Amino acid sequence: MRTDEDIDAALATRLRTTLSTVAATVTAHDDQPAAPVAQEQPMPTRTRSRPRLAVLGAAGVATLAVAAFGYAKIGPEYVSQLPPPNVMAAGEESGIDFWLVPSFHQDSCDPDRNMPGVELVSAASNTVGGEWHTGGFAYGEADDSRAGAGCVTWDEQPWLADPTLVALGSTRLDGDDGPWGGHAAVHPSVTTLVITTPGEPAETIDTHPRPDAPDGPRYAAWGLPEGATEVRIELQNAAGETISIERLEYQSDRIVRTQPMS
Amino acid sequence: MSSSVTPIQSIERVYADHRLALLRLATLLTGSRDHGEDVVQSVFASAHPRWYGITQQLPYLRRAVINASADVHRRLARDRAVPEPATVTSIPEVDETWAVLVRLPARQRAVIVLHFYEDLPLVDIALVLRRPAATIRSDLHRALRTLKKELS
Repeated sequence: MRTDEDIDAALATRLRTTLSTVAATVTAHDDQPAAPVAQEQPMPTRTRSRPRLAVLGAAGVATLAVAAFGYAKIGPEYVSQLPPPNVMAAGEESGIDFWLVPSFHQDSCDPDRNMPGVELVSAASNTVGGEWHTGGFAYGEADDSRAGAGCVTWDEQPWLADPTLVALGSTRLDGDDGPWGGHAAVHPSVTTLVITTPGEPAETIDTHPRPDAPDGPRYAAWGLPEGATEVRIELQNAAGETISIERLEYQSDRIVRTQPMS
Repeated sequence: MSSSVTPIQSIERVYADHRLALLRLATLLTGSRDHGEDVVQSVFASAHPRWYGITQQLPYLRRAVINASADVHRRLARDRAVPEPATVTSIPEVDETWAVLVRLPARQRAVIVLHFYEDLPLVDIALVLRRPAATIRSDLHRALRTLKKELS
């Protein structure tokens, strides 16, 4: 690792002097602004009957499709705590924390259970007391023939026969132009993803099963560096062997999954 | 800047104790006192709703300042507005160096500020910026090369 001894001493001194001198010109003022505080909001009246949950489809669909779902079965319609409970994985991108949790919103196809898969929760899109804004995604062959009624189902069985099948997507972590968060739902044998963007060294992240299905499909989420126009995702098993390689391209108005790479 | 803050400190207390240090950091990173003020205010405002869910508040705030400062730079670049560094000290060598620093790409300037002002080793900078250490070394090398060339 490079040390100051490897750096021109005169330049290092000049930089330290410059930075400390410039910083010293920033002084506390008597009219220092008060600590910004969020306006206290009364708990909103229940004008919406359904929490907002974006369903992210399989195979590279990246735009958020807002689907209507039933009432949240667990917890209130509103955010009661952040981080949410039962965090499977956590990350941060551009100062925005995000968490991966087992789906906790009701399945509109079957009101007696929760949605399959997981939900991606961004700290920038959710505040305690406000409505939940999350992105859900699941593993398996999607059937959206009843999507108009808010019902999308996923069949895991066909996919479990082929470890190369993966549900990929990306979500804005903060509004319409915030940083991207990538996510994947993968075969139980895929324990690691190697994420590479042009000009950046590869990043290795673990996949995680839902706690109630430790041998089932696995899930992962990651932050994408700003300006990323494409990402390479290598799926690996526990032995470090490559199962498949996927590639996403970020175009001006959409994200496209290119052909899987052999 | 102290790196330890007890979790039970209120946001108001942390603001009072650490705002100036964060403002100085934001000013160095953005190249502008005004932008630095905006960054610090927005970081605290954003953190407020979830303050007690943040387990390490000062490191969180510092990281948020660093990332928010990079957002300022991107916005300015998109708007084709490059900030003109003010003559901040009337010390010619300092002002000359500062002018070159402000023109560095945001990532390179962040590495320079964190290494030579915050005295962070490169491995810690990699953790703060959540970028590989090799990338940090590369950014530092490119920044120093530019500085040496511009200031020679």
